[in-house]
Amino acid sequence: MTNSQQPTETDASATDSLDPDSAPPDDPTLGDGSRATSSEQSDEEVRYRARPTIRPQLAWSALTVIVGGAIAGALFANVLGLEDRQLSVIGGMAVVFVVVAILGRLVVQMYVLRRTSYTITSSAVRYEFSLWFRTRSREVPRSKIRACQHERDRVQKVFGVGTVTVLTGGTNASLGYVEFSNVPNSEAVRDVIREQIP
Amino acid sequence: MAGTPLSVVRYGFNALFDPADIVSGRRNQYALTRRAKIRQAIRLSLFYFLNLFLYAVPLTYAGFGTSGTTGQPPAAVVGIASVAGTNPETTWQFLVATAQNCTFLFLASVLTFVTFHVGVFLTRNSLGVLQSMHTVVYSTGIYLAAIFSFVWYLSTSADIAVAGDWLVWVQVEFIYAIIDLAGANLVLPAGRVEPVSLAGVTLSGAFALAALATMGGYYMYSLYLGARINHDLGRVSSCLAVGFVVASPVLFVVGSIAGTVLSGSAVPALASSLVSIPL
Repeated sequence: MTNSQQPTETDASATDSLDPDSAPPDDPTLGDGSRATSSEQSDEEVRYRARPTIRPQLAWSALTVIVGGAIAGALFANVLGLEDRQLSVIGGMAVVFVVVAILGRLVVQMYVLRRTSYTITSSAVRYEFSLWFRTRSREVPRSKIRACQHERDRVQKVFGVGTVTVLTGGTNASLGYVEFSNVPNSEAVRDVIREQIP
Repeated sequence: MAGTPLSVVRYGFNALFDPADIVSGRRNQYALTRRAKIRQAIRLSLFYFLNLFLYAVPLTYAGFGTSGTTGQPPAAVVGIASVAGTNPETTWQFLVATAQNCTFLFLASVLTFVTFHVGVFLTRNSLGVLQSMHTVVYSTGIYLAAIFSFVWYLSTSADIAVAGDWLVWVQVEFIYAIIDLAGANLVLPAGRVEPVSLAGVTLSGAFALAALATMGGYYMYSLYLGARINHDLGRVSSCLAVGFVVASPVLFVVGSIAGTVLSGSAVPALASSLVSIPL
Protein backbone atom coordinates (compact mmCIF):
# COMPACT_ATOMS: atom_id res chain seq x y z
CA MET A 1 0.00 0.00 0.00
CA THR A 2 1.46 3.35 -0.95
CA ASN A 3 -1.50 5.59 0.00
CA SER A 4 -0.28 7.99 2.65
CA GLN A 5 -3.55 7.51 4.55
CA GLN A 6 -2.91 3.80 4.98
CA PRO A 7 -0.21 1.94 6.85
CA THR A 8 2.50 0.75 4.52
CA GLU A 9 3.05 -2.87 3.77
CA THR A 10 6.18 -3.82 1.95
CA ASP A 11 8.01 -6.86 0.76
CA ALA A 12 11.51 -6.02 1.90
CA SER A 13 14.41 -8.08 0.64
CA ALA A 14 16.27 -10.14 3.19
CA THR A 15 19.23 -7.76 3.14
CA ASP A 16 17.06 -4.69 3.76
CA SER A 17 14.90 -6.13 6.50
CA LEU A 18 15.31 -5.99 10.21
CA ASP A 19 16.96 -9.28 11.13
CA PRO A 20 14.53 -10.84 13.62
CA ASP A 21 17.34 -12.95 15.06
CA SER A 22 18.91 -9.79 16.44
CA ALA A 23 15.97 -9.27 18.81
CA PRO A 24 16.23 -10.77 22.27
CA PRO A 25 13.80 -13.72 22.50
CA ASP A 26 10.70 -12.94 24.57
CA ASP A 27 12.29 -10.08 26.51
CA PRO A 28 11.23 -6.52 25.68
CA THR A 29 13.76 -3.78 25.23
CA LEU A 30 12.32 -0.62 26.60
CA GLY A 31 13.15 3.01 26.48
CA ASP A 32 16.91 3.09 26.58
CA GLY A 33 17.01 5.33 23.52
CA SER A 34 19.22 2.94 21.60
CA ARG A 35 19.94 4.07 18.09
CA ALA A 36 18.42 2.27 15.13
CA THR A 37 20.47 -0.12 13.07
CA SER A 38 21.84 0.92 9.75
CA SER A 39 18.89 -0.75 8.05
CA GLU A 40 16.49 1.81 9.58
CA GLN A 41 16.20 5.57 9.10
CA SER A 42 19.07 7.44 10.75
CA ASP A 43 16.84 9.68 12.88
CA GLU A 44 14.74 6.82 14.30
CA GLU A 45 15.05 5.95 17.97
CA VAL A 46 14.10 2.37 18.78
CA ARG A 47 11.85 2.35 21.82
CA TYR A 48 10.84 -1.29 21.80
CA ARG A 49 11.78 -4.44 19.98
CA ALA A 50 10.80 -8.03 20.71
CA ARG A 51 9.54 -11.27 19.29
CA PRO A 52 6.24 -12.89 20.27
CA THR A 53 6.11 -15.99 22.42
CA ILE A 54 4.45 -19.24 21.33
CA ARG A 55 3.74 -20.48 24.86
CA PRO A 56 -0.02 -19.75 24.67
CA GLN A 57 -0.25 -21.74 21.42
CA LEU A 58 1.64 -24.62 23.03
CA ALA A 59 -0.76 -24.51 25.96
CA TRP A 60 -3.80 -24.49 23.64
CA SER A 61 -2.31 -27.41 21.69
CA ALA A 62 -1.84 -29.42 24.87
CA LEU A 63 -5.37 -28.56 25.99
CA THR A 64 -6.80 -29.55 22.62
CA VAL A 65 -5.01 -32.89 22.62
CA ILE A 66 -6.01 -33.67 26.21
CA VAL A 67 -9.66 -32.63 25.97
CA GLY A 68 -10.17 -33.81 22.38
CA GLY A 69 -8.36 -37.05 23.07
CA ALA A 70 -10.47 -37.70 26.15
CA ILE A 71 -13.73 -37.07 24.28
CA ALA A 72 -12.65 -39.17 21.31
CA GLY A 73 -11.47 -41.94 23.60
CA ALA A 74 -14.76 -41.93 25.46
CA LEU A 75 -16.68 -42.14 22.21
CA PHE A 76 -14.50 -44.96 20.83
CA ALA A 77 -15.12 -46.87 24.07
CA ASN A 78 -18.87 -46.16 23.77
CA VAL A 79 -19.02 -44.65 27.25
CA LEU A 80 -22.47 -43.28 26.41
CA GLY A 81 -23.70 -46.86 25.99
CA LEU A 82 -25.29 -46.32 22.58
CA GLU A 83 -27.12 -49.34 21.20
CA ASP A 84 -25.45 -48.85 17.81
CA ARG A 85 -21.78 -48.87 18.83
CA GLN A 86 -20.57 -47.83 15.39
CA LEU A 87 -22.41 -44.51 15.78
CA SER A 88 -20.25 -43.74 18.80
CA VAL A 89 -17.12 -44.70 16.87
CA ILE A 90 -18.11 -42.39 14.02
CA GLY A 91 -18.62 -39.61 16.56
CA GLY A 92 -15.12 -40.29 17.88
CA MET A 93 -13.68 -40.06 14.36
CA ALA A 94 -15.42 -36.70 13.84
CA VAL A 95 -13.84 -35.43 17.08
CA VAL A 96 -10.42 -36.59 15.85
CA PHE A 97 -10.91 -34.65 12.58
CA VAL A 98 -11.74 -31.49 14.51
CA VAL A 99 -8.75 -31.96 16.84
CA VAL A 100 -6.42 -32.38 13.85
CA ALA A 101 -7.84 -29.22 12.24
CA ILE A 102 -7.36 -27.21 15.44
CA LEU A 103 -3.81 -28.52 15.90
CA GLY A 104 -3.01 -27.70 12.28
CA ARG A 105 -4.14 -24.12 12.82
CA LEU A 106 -2.11 -23.78 16.03
CA VAL A 107 1.02 -25.20 14.36
CA VAL A 108 0.71 -22.65 11.56
CA GLN A 109 0.22 -19.86 14.11
CA MET A 110 3.35 -20.95 15.98
CA TYR A 111 5.31 -21.11 12.74
CA VAL A 112 4.28 -17.58 11.83
CA LEU A 113 4.91 -16.19 15.31
CA ARG A 114 8.43 -17.65 15.39
CA ARG A 115 9.24 -15.65 12.30
CA THR A 116 7.69 -12.37 13.43
CA SER A 117 9.27 -9.41 15.19
CA TYR A 118 7.79 -6.20 16.61
CA THR A 119 9.44 -2.80 16.68
CA ILE A 120 8.36 0.58 18.02
CA THR A 121 10.49 3.53 16.99
CA SER A 122 10.10 7.25 17.54
CA SER A 123 8.37 7.57 14.18
CA ALA A 124 6.47 4.33 13.59
CA VAL A 125 5.11 1.04 14.83
CA ARG A 126 6.08 -1.97 12.77
CA TYR A 127 5.88 -5.74 12.60
CA GLU A 128 7.95 -7.90 10.31
CA PHE A 129 7.43 -11.45 9.23
CA SER A 130 10.06 -13.55 7.47
CA LEU A 131 9.19 -16.58 5.43
CA TRP A 132 11.74 -18.50 3.37
CA PHE A 133 13.74 -15.80 1.60
CA ARG A 134 11.30 -12.92 1.85
CA THR A 135 10.50 -10.49 4.61
CA ARG A 136 7.19 -8.72 4.83
CA SER A 137 6.68 -5.69 7.05
CA ARG A 138 3.65 -3.67 8.03
CA GLU A 139 4.22 -0.22 9.47
CA VAL A 140 2.00 2.50 10.89
CA PRO A 141 3.57 5.98 10.97
CA ARG A 142 3.24 7.70 14.32
CA SER A 143 1.14 10.48 12.80
CA LYS A 144 -1.53 7.95 11.74
CA ILE A 145 -2.01 6.25 15.09
CA ARG A 146 -5.47 7.01 16.48
CA ALA A 147 -5.94 4.47 19.26
CA CYS A 148 -4.51 1.44 20.92
CA GLN A 149 -6.31 -1.72 22.01
CA HIS A 150 -5.08 -4.24 24.57
CA GLU A 151 -6.56 -7.74 24.89
CA ARG A 152 -5.64 -10.74 26.93
CA ASP A 153 -7.38 -14.10 27.12
CA ARG A 154 -7.11 -16.46 30.07
CA VAL A 155 -4.22 -18.44 28.63
CA GLN A 156 -2.27 -15.31 27.69
CA LYS A 157 -2.80 -14.01 31.23
CA VAL A 158 -1.18 -17.13 32.67
CA PHE A 159 1.95 -16.50 30.60
CA GLY A 160 1.94 -12.74 31.15
CA VAL A 161 1.48 -11.88 27.48
CA GLY A 162 -1.21 -10.08 25.55
CA THR A 163 -2.26 -8.70 22.20
CA VAL A 164 -1.81 -5.02 21.48
CA THR A 165 -3.48 -3.56 18.42
CA VAL A 166 -2.61 -0.20 16.93
CA LEU A 167 -5.59 1.39 15.21
CA THR A 168 -5.50 3.97 12.47
CA GLY A 169 -9.18 4.61 11.91
CA GLY A 170 -11.11 1.34 12.06
CA THR A 171 -11.11 -2.05 13.65
CA ASN A 172 -11.01 -4.13 10.50
CA ALA A 173 -7.74 -5.33 9.01
CA SER A 174 -8.48 -3.86 5.62
CA LEU A 175 -8.68 -0.36 7.07
CA GLY A 176 -5.19 -0.54 8.36
CA TYR A 177 -3.90 -1.72 11.67
CA VAL A 178 -0.88 -3.41 13.17
CA GLU A 179 -1.31 -6.14 15.74
CA PHE A 180 1.30 -7.35 18.19
CA SER A 181 0.14 -10.86 19.13
CA ASN A 182 1.46 -12.75 22.16
CA VAL A 183 3.76 -9.88 23.05
CA PRO A 184 5.56 -10.15 26.39
CA ASN A 185 4.96 -7.38 28.92
CA SER A 186 1.98 -6.25 26.86
CA GLU A 187 0.79 -3.54 29.24
CA ALA A 188 4.13 -1.79 29.07
CA VAL A 189 4.04 -2.07 25.28
CA ARG A 190 0.57 -0.53 25.28
CA ASP A 191 1.88 2.37 27.35
CA VAL A 192 4.79 2.92 24.94
CA ILE A 193 2.38 3.01 22.00
CA ARG A 194 0.03 5.36 23.85
CA GLU A 195 2.91 7.79 24.14
CA GLN A 196 3.12 7.69 20.34
CA ILE A 197 -0.48 8.80 19.83
CA PRO A 198 -0.38 12.39 18.58
CA MET B 1 -12.76 -19.69 -8.06
CA ALA B 2 -10.68 -17.20 -10.01
CA GLY B 3 -7.13 -16.54 -8.86
CA THR B 4 -3.64 -17.96 -8.99
CA PRO B 5 -3.08 -21.61 -8.06
CA LEU B 6 -1.40 -20.39 -4.86
CA SER B 7 -4.46 -18.35 -3.87
CA VAL B 8 -6.66 -21.39 -4.46
CA VAL B 9 -4.40 -23.49 -2.23
CA ARG B 10 -4.44 -20.76 0.40
CA TYR B 11 -8.22 -20.58 0.13
CA GLY B 12 -8.51 -24.34 0.65
CA PHE B 13 -6.08 -24.14 3.57
CA ASN B 14 -8.13 -21.38 5.22
CA ALA B 15 -11.36 -23.32 4.63
CA LEU B 16 -9.96 -26.12 6.82
CA PHE B 17 -7.80 -24.25 9.31
CA ASP B 18 -9.11 -20.69 9.42
CA PRO B 19 -12.85 -20.41 8.59
CA ALA B 20 -12.87 -16.89 10.07
CA ASP B 21 -10.69 -15.69 7.21
CA ILE B 22 -13.14 -17.15 4.68
CA VAL B 23 -16.39 -15.70 6.03
CA SER B 24 -15.21 -12.34 7.35
CA GLY B 25 -16.13 -9.40 5.16
CA ARG B 26 -14.41 -6.06 4.86
CA ARG B 27 -16.43 -3.49 6.73
CA ASN B 28 -15.23 -0.58 4.69
CA GLN B 29 -16.88 -2.17 1.67
CA TYR B 30 -20.23 -2.23 3.41
CA ALA B 31 -20.19 1.30 4.80
CA LEU B 32 -20.39 2.80 1.30
CA THR B 33 -23.03 4.40 -0.91
CA ARG B 34 -26.11 2.51 -1.95
CA ARG B 35 -24.73 2.07 -5.45
CA ALA B 36 -21.53 0.56 -4.10
CA LYS B 37 -23.51 -1.79 -1.89
CA ILE B 38 -25.57 -2.94 -4.87
CA ARG B 39 -22.37 -3.53 -6.82
CA GLN B 40 -20.99 -5.58 -3.95
CA ALA B 41 -24.23 -7.57 -3.73
CA ILE B 42 -24.02 -8.33 -7.46
CA ARG B 43 -20.39 -9.40 -7.08
CA LEU B 44 -21.30 -11.74 -4.22
CA SER B 45 -24.21 -13.18 -6.22
CA LEU B 46 -22.02 -13.83 -9.26
CA PHE B 47 -19.43 -15.53 -7.07
CA TYR B 48 -22.16 -17.66 -5.53
CA PHE B 49 -23.68 -18.74 -8.85
CA LEU B 50 -20.27 -19.55 -10.25
CA ASN B 51 -19.62 -21.83 -7.26
CA LEU B 52 -23.10 -23.34 -7.67
CA PHE B 53 -22.40 -24.12 -11.30
CA LEU B 54 -19.01 -25.63 -10.47
CA TYR B 55 -20.74 -27.81 -7.90
CA ALA B 56 -23.58 -28.94 -10.19
CA VAL B 57 -21.62 -29.75 -13.36
CA PRO B 58 -19.74 -32.80 -11.95
CA LEU B 59 -23.01 -34.09 -10.48
CA THR B 60 -24.63 -33.81 -13.88
CA TYR B 61 -21.75 -35.64 -15.55
CA ALA B 62 -22.15 -38.36 -12.91
CA GLY B 63 -25.73 -38.87 -14.08
CA PHE B 64 -27.70 -37.01 -11.45
CA GLY B 65 -30.78 -35.11 -12.49
CA THR B 66 -31.07 -36.76 -15.89
CA SER B 67 -34.16 -38.87 -15.23
CA GLY B 68 -37.49 -38.09 -16.84
CA THR B 69 -38.32 -36.45 -20.14
CA THR B 70 -37.20 -32.93 -20.87
CA GLY B 71 -39.27 -32.25 -23.96
CA GLN B 72 -38.09 -30.60 -27.14
CA PRO B 73 -35.15 -28.23 -26.81
CA PRO B 74 -35.90 -24.54 -27.38
CA ALA B 75 -34.65 -22.84 -30.54
CA ALA B 76 -31.86 -21.02 -28.73
CA VAL B 77 -30.43 -24.31 -27.46
CA VAL B 78 -30.67 -25.84 -30.94
CA GLY B 79 -28.74 -22.86 -32.29
CA ILE B 80 -26.02 -23.13 -29.66
CA ALA B 81 -25.75 -26.89 -30.13
CA SER B 82 -25.35 -26.53 -33.90
CA VAL B 83 -22.54 -24.01 -33.40
CA ALA B 84 -20.86 -26.19 -30.76
CA GLY B 85 -21.34 -29.33 -32.84
CA THR B 86 -23.29 -31.20 -30.14
CA ASN B 87 -26.63 -32.96 -30.18
CA PRO B 88 -29.42 -30.45 -29.30
CA GLU B 89 -31.41 -32.94 -27.23
CA THR B 90 -28.34 -34.05 -25.26
CA THR B 91 -27.36 -30.43 -24.70
CA TRP B 92 -30.87 -29.55 -23.52
CA GLN B 93 -30.96 -32.59 -21.19
CA PHE B 94 -27.57 -31.56 -19.76
CA LEU B 95 -28.76 -28.00 -19.13
CA VAL B 96 -32.00 -29.14 -17.49
CA ALA B 97 -30.15 -31.66 -15.31
CA THR B 98 -27.59 -29.03 -14.28
CA ALA B 99 -30.37 -26.62 -13.37
CA GLN B 100 -32.07 -29.36 -11.35
CA ASN B 101 -28.84 -30.19 -9.52
CA CYS B 102 -28.35 -26.50 -8.75
CA THR B 103 -31.88 -26.22 -7.39
CA PHE B 104 -31.49 -28.07 -4.11
CA LEU B 105 -28.28 -26.35 -3.06
CA PHE B 106 -29.78 -23.03 -4.17
CA LEU B 107 -32.95 -23.62 -2.12
CA ALA B 108 -30.88 -24.67 0.88
CA SER B 109 -28.78 -21.51 0.50
CA VAL B 110 -31.84 -19.28 0.28
CA LEU B 111 -33.33 -20.96 3.35
CA THR B 112 -30.03 -20.50 5.20
CA PHE B 113 -29.84 -16.83 4.22
CA VAL B 114 -33.42 -16.07 5.24
CA THR B 115 -33.23 -17.89 8.59
CA PHE B 116 -29.75 -16.55 9.37
CA HIS B 117 -30.68 -12.95 8.66
CA VAL B 118 -33.98 -13.25 10.53
CA GLY B 119 -32.04 -14.65 13.48
CA VAL B 120 -29.53 -11.81 13.34
CA PHE B 121 -32.27 -9.23 12.81
CA LEU B 122 -34.16 -10.44 15.88
CA THR B 123 -31.09 -9.77 18.04
CA ARG B 124 -31.56 -6.09 17.00
CA ASN B 125 -27.86 -5.80 16.28
CA SER B 126 -27.85 -6.51 12.56
CA LEU B 127 -25.37 -4.45 10.57
CA GLY B 128 -27.12 -5.05 7.27
CA VAL B 129 -28.25 -7.54 4.65
CA LEU B 130 -24.92 -7.40 2.84
CA GLN B 131 -23.08 -8.78 5.89
CA SER B 132 -25.50 -11.73 6.05
CA MET B 133 -25.20 -12.23 2.31
CA HIS B 134 -21.41 -12.34 2.56
CA THR B 135 -21.57 -14.87 5.40
CA VAL B 136 -24.05 -17.18 3.68
CA VAL B 137 -22.44 -17.01 0.22
CA TYR B 138 -19.11 -18.23 1.57
CA SER B 139 -20.42 -20.70 4.14
CA THR B 140 -22.86 -22.37 1.74
CA GLY B 141 -20.46 -22.13 -1.19
CA ILE B 142 -17.87 -24.16 0.67
CA TYR B 143 -19.25 -26.06 3.62
CA LEU B 144 -22.83 -26.74 2.56
CA ALA B 145 -21.59 -27.77 -0.88
CA ALA B 146 -19.13 -30.14 0.85
CA ILE B 147 -22.02 -31.60 2.88
CA PHE B 148 -24.07 -32.16 -0.26
CA SER B 149 -21.04 -33.74 -1.95
CA PHE B 150 -20.51 -36.19 0.91
CA VAL B 151 -24.21 -37.11 0.91
CA TRP B 152 -24.04 -37.65 -2.84
CA TYR B 153 -20.96 -39.86 -2.39
CA LEU B 154 -22.68 -41.88 0.35
CA SER B 155 -25.79 -42.29 -1.76
CA THR B 156 -24.05 -43.45 -4.91
CA SER B 157 -21.01 -45.44 -3.86
CA ALA B 158 -21.67 -49.19 -4.04
CA ASP B 159 -18.89 -49.93 -1.52
CA ILE B 160 -20.53 -48.08 1.35
CA ALA B 161 -24.12 -49.24 1.05
CA VAL B 162 -24.71 -49.52 4.81
CA ALA B 163 -23.69 -45.91 5.49
CA GLY B 164 -25.81 -44.69 2.56
CA ASP B 165 -28.86 -46.66 3.71
CA TRP B 166 -28.42 -45.41 7.27
CA LEU B 167 -28.32 -41.82 6.03
CA VAL B 168 -31.56 -42.30 4.08
CA TRP B 169 -33.16 -43.91 7.14
CA VAL B 170 -32.14 -40.92 9.33
CA GLN B 171 -33.72 -38.49 6.85
CA VAL B 172 -36.93 -40.52 6.63
CA GLU B 173 -37.16 -40.83 10.42
CA PHE B 174 -36.63 -37.09 10.76
CA ILE B 175 -39.53 -36.34 8.41
CA TYR B 176 -41.81 -38.91 10.08
CA ALA B 177 -40.96 -37.53 13.51
CA ILE B 178 -42.30 -34.14 12.42
CA ILE B 179 -45.32 -35.72 10.72
CA ASP B 180 -46.14 -37.61 13.93
CA LEU B 181 -45.64 -34.51 16.06
CA ALA B 182 -47.97 -32.56 13.78
CA GLY B 183 -50.53 -35.36 14.00
CA ALA B 184 -50.85 -35.45 10.22
CA ASN B 185 -51.85 -38.65 8.51
CA LEU B 186 -49.27 -38.50 5.75
CA VAL B 187 -46.89 -41.04 4.21
CA LEU B 188 -43.78 -40.80 2.10
CA PRO B 189 -43.72 -42.68 -1.25
CA ALA B 190 -41.41 -45.39 0.17
CA GLY B 191 -43.38 -45.60 3.40
CA ARG B 192 -41.68 -46.12 6.75
CA VAL B 193 -38.21 -47.59 6.42
CA GLU B 194 -36.98 -50.38 8.68
CA PRO B 195 -34.27 -49.20 11.12
CA VAL B 196 -30.80 -49.53 9.62
CA SER B 197 -27.97 -50.61 11.90
CA LEU B 198 -24.42 -49.41 11.40
CA ALA B 199 -23.04 -52.76 12.55
CA GLY B 200 -21.91 -53.73 9.04
CA VAL B 201 -20.52 -50.33 8.07
CA THR B 202 -17.14 -50.38 6.30
CA LEU B 203 -14.19 -48.17 7.26
CA SER B 204 -14.82 -46.00 4.19
CA GLY B 205 -18.46 -45.61 5.18
CA ALA B 206 -17.58 -44.70 8.76
CA PHE B 207 -14.96 -42.27 7.50
CA ALA B 208 -17.44 -40.63 5.12
CA LEU B 209 -20.09 -40.28 7.84
CA ALA B 210 -17.52 -38.79 10.24
CA ALA B 211 -16.39 -36.35 7.55
CA LEU B 212 -20.05 -35.45 6.89
CA ALA B 213 -20.58 -34.74 10.60
CA THR B 214 -17.39 -32.65 10.68
CA MET B 215 -18.52 -30.60 7.66
CA GLY B 216 -21.85 -30.03 9.41
CA GLY B 217 -19.92 -28.69 12.38
CA TYR B 218 -17.81 -26.46 10.13
CA TYR B 219 -20.96 -25.15 8.46
CA MET B 220 -22.52 -24.18 11.79
CA TYR B 221 -19.23 -22.71 13.02
CA SER B 222 -18.75 -20.63 9.86
CA LEU B 223 -22.24 -19.14 10.31
CA TYR B 224 -21.42 -18.46 13.97
CA LEU B 225 -18.20 -16.70 12.94
CA GLY B 226 -20.12 -14.74 10.30
CA ALA B 227 -22.54 -13.49 12.95
CA ARG B 228 -19.71 -12.55 15.33
CA ILE B 229 -17.35 -10.95 12.85
CA ASN B 230 -19.63 -9.42 10.21
CA HIS B 231 -22.46 -8.35 12.52
CA ASP B 232 -20.35 -7.82 15.63
CA LEU B 233 -22.71 -9.98 17.69
CA GLY B 234 -21.91 -11.48 21.06
CA ARG B 235 -21.56 -15.21 21.63
CA VAL B 236 -25.16 -15.81 22.76
CA SER B 237 -26.70 -13.75 19.95
CA SER B 238 -24.55 -15.54 17.39
CA CYS B 239 -25.65 -18.92 18.75
CA LEU B 240 -29.27 -17.79 18.50
CA ALA B 241 -28.78 -16.80 14.87
CA VAL B 242 -27.25 -20.19 14.11
CA GLY B 243 -30.09 -21.85 16.03
CA PHE B 244 -32.53 -20.37 13.53
CA VAL B 245 -30.58 -21.97 10.68
CA VAL B 246 -30.49 -25.33 12.48
CA ALA B 247 -34.27 -25.12 12.85
CA SER B 248 -34.76 -24.42 9.13
CA PRO B 249 -35.07 -28.08 8.01
CA VAL B 250 -37.87 -28.46 10.56
CA LEU B 251 -39.55 -25.35 9.17
CA PHE B 252 -39.12 -26.70 5.64
CA VAL B 253 -40.79 -30.01 6.49
CA VAL B 254 -43.56 -28.31 8.48
CA GLY B 255 -44.24 -26.06 5.51
CA SER B 256 -44.33 -29.06 3.22
CA ILE B 257 -46.76 -30.87 5.51
CA ALA B 258 -49.00 -27.81 5.73
CA GLY B 259 -49.00 -27.42 1.97
CA THR B 260 -49.83 -31.08 1.48
CA VAL B 261 -52.67 -31.07 4.00
CA LEU B 262 -54.14 -27.94 2.45
CA SER B 263 -53.94 -29.43 -1.05
CA GLY B 264 -55.71 -32.59 0.14
CA SER B 265 -52.90 -34.95 -0.89
CA ALA B 266 -51.65 -37.81 1.28
CA VAL B 267 -48.04 -37.54 0.20
CA PRO B 268 -45.96 -34.55 1.25
CA ALA B 269 -44.40 -33.87 -2.13
CA LEU B 270 -41.71 -31.40 -1.10
CA ALA B 271 -40.60 -33.40 1.90
CA SER B 272 -40.47 -36.63 -0.10
CA SER B 273 -38.09 -34.96 -2.55
CA LEU B 274 -35.65 -34.61 0.34
CA VAL B 275 -35.27 -38.36 0.45
CA SER B 276 -35.30 -39.25 -3.24
CA ILE B 277 -32.07 -37.37 -4.06
CA PRO B 278 -29.17 -36.17 -1.95
CA LEU B 279 -30.80 -33.70 0.41
